Amino acid sequence: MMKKFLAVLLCGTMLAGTLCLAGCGGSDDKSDESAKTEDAGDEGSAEGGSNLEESKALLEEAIATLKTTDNQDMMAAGNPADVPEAVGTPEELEALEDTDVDKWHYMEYLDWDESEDAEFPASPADGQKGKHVILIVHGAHAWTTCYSEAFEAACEAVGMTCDVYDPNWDQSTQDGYVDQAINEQPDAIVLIPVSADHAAQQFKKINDAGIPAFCSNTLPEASAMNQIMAYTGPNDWAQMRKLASTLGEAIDGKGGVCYITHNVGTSPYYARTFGPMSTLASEYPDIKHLDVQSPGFEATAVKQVVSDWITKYGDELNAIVLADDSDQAIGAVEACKAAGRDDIVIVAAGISKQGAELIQSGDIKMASYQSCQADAGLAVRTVAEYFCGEKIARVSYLATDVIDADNVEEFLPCQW
Amino acid sequence: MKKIRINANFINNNRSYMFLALILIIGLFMDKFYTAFNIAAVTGNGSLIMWLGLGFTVCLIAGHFDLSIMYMSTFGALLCLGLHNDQKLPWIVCILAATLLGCLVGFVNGILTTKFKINSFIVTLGMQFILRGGMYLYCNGEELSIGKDYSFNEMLNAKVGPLPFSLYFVITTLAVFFVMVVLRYTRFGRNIHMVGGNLETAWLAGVKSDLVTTGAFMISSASCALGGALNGVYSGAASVTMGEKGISPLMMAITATIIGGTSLSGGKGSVIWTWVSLVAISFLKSVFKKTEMQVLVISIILILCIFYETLAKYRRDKVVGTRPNLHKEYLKETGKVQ
Amino acid sequence: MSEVNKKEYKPEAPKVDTRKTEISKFSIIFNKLGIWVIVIMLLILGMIVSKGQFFTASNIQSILEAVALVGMIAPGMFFVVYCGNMNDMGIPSTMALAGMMTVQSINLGFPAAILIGILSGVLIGVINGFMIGKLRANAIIWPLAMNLFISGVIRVVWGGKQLYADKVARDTESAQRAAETFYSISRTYIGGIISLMAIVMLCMMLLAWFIHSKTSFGQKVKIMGTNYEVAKCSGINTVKVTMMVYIFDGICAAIGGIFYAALRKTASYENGTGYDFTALTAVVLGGALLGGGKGSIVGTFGGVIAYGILNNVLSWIGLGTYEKYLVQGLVFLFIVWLNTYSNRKLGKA
Repeated sequence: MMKKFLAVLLCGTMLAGTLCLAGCGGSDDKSDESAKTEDAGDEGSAEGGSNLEESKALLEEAIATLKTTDNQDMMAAGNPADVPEAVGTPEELEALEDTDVDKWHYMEYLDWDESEDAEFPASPADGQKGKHVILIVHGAHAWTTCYSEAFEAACEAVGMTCDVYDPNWDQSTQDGYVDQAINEQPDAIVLIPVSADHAAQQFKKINDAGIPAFCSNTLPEASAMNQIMAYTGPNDWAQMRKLASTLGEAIDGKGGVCYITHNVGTSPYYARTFGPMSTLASEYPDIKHLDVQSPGFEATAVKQVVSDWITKYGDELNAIVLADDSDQAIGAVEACKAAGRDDIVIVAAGISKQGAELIQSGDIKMASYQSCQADAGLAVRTVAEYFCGEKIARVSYLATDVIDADNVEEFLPCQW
Repeated sequence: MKKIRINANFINNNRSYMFLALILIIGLFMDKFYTAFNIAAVTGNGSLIMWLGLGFTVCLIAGHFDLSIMYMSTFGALLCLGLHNDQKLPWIVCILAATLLGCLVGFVNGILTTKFKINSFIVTLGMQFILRGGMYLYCNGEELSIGKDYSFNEMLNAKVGPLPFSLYFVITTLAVFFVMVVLRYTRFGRNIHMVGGNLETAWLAGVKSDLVTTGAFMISSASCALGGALNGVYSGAASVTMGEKGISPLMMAITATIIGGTSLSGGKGSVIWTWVSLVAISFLKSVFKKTEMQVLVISIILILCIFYETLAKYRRDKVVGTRPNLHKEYLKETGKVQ
Repeated sequence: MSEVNKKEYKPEAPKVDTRKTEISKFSIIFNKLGIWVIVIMLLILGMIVSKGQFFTASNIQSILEAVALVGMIAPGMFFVVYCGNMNDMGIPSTMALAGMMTVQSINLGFPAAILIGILSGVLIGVINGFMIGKLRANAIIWPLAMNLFISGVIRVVWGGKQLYADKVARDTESAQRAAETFYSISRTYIGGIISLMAIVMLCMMLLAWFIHSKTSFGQKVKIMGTNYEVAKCSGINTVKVTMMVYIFDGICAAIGGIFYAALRKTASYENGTGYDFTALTAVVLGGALLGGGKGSIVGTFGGVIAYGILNNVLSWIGLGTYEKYLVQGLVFLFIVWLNTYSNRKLGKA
């Protein structure tokens, strides 16, 4: 009797709970849908031309007014890519040493073969107002939160609606979200690929479904550009090279450098490890590259790695290059402090709140400036320009800068 | 004819089917849920955890935990893509090589468990570390992708006839049913059940228990490696960190096995139950778009299932050793039964 | 009558038992000293590969700090394993929840925030203890389900965001100071040499050692771990004991989670991922059997230390992050096999 009762109770609760939850989810979707249809209705009633003009006005206003939290322009125009001539085919360059600048040519400059471009969906050229965009980010992180909030704000300002999907750094989950996004049939999809290599397949899927695909933030594999409408994001390589040159100066062009990498296989992994490494090798041949480790983003793990380095290399270790200025920087700084080595120069890619604090306190020497909100702003601007029928640059980069104790004040308060 | 009675037992035994039905009913109220594209995408993306669930369930029926399945599948995918890219081997050979590697790992797991008498939980925990190190060494931590060779990838992605399912999902399903048949209708399969139910009895009855256990481990690892290899081709790329972030496929496989109703102490269970729950979980991901909600809903269902099982067992244990008729009388006296 | 009966009975020479009866010395030594044999071997190896720099203060300090978090959680995990409940897979979410609660309530002042963090660990311990002790839920799966559930709750409630203590703290001086204090707990060095984290770890190990070997509670847990039914029949309140074990486990995980959040300067749902397996590794290295009733806190401490030293020695040898995984796995399996082997030879398992 009790058993039967319990079973009925179990099923009832399951049914009620799930239905209730589904109701919540469903209603959210429906409100989005209805908003979309209303907008579409507006669009339909208004003349195509007037929507386009209205859109352009909105876009200009947004570009003029939107500011990031550290008081920079949020939707500033991107810088075009400056691609030097390649010195060889990909296969030839692959065989070079890691420390050779040329080896990374194809990865660094997104030097793809334009003759192999897929057929892209044509722009409707009726303005971005009332369009629906789906943003698929790479995973939950303070940076991502900041990015998606900025993206939503920018979308609202230019009259677009957007949904954000978060696959939690998992490639197969992101695949699932790409499929779901295609199933929703939005007007455009903006994707931050979890993995550079896999991006080609994901973008191919989106493009094959007739939806314009935009890539943001992380660099895809060069061949993926055949499927991508436009790439926008930070010029990771350039800023890391800039950082490396400054670092080389700071340690007088000699000594030993260690590297802590980003998640292996992602584009920042290459840019933030081999970018500075090859720059240092070419500009300061006396510098020794001691070790490269990938302990991930856990402060304790990084701390242990750095402590081990300090005991192992002793005075040989003069500088550490980090791929991240939050958790990794904390770990590295802790380790140096514990060992009483305040002479070690630490540089990082950034910039986060923790990183800015560490720069202010002098624990980190410098960090690269990579505006998260401007990144989102640039993506939205590019998408909007596409809907307005304008010709968009296939690759556009954010402005870069190197932050040290002197100019850190200009970039406060931090975005994330 | 057997009369089907809807009672607690019936519901409990068929809870995976009910879970699936529930999700499908909710899907009726969703927009763009029952499109061919959605169904194919959802089932295709969920196939990897179906392979993992298959492996985990087989091991659990034999009374052992296999925690190494997740890294096994990733290793399988990496090996398959790596062999195809570097050695230019045909796909079928690459997939076979991955499966062979799975067999080998399963064999080692089995030997360590049966001959060296180490707890399977510990063995596979250590194997996790080894596989992780091994695959990092194999590919230097880099990602591997199929590059521009889309032929096999498109074949796996293509829908089968008029069905709204991709070939990959159909292969997965066939494999699950094949293992089901092996478990249910062959001597080896029955022996797996027997070893899991009571190792000593099985041994006394003349079952070569060590061999059977090793066999179960080999099925588990091989199916995960095979599934991983196919998934690598299906999705087009594989990376070492697959599944380390987000909702871990291993946890999903364990969850689905429990929701499906496979007994944790071994001996009872079916790969079909696990498979059905995993299909339901895959569809659930299409119903709840946010990862947070997915985790919460799946965990609530899991907790309800465990809670029900625990309570049922608790009540059963309470009357163990008592004389049932006396207990009934006692209940009548105290008015706890009408 | 036949020949057979006439045959004179000749007593046969007694059969010599050719089976090996003596137990190898190594088994006995290993069984007595356990993981510390390995620790000493690793120390010697470390001395050789590091050319004498192994015993510098900074290196020892870095080893101690690296294992401090695991060392805080391991005693709790040890008691769970010891009382026969296999393991506690719910540790990551307990750590995450404790960090979240502490940071969220930082406005109430530093001591109150820490207390709330620990109380959230106690709460999870009580739930686990009730389900496993009273209702006898499966000890592997129930914490796993709890883990999934709590991480789901954290994700939904905080929306997958990360919490920063100084952002959560109100703009008053006391709240900001509390946030500062919170950050500093993972960065304090007592006497400039040994970190607070290492001290806390040692204290918790000491406390656990005291509970385990000096109180009747420890004996009760041992009996329970060895044979649940016997424990029940001999009048031990198994529900209460299990409850206490899980509460202790929750407290350990919560303290670890608080220190982890302070070290990372952020609290988020992903804090503590992987610490369940790491802690279990340390406990198992220390000679505990998953069946329960075997092992000691001294061994667990040895396991924790061995884990740290192994990592350190491997980086002295010059192995990268990836090779380390492989070697760690092999060493882990080897030590566990040694444990099992020596136990079986001595008839203890």
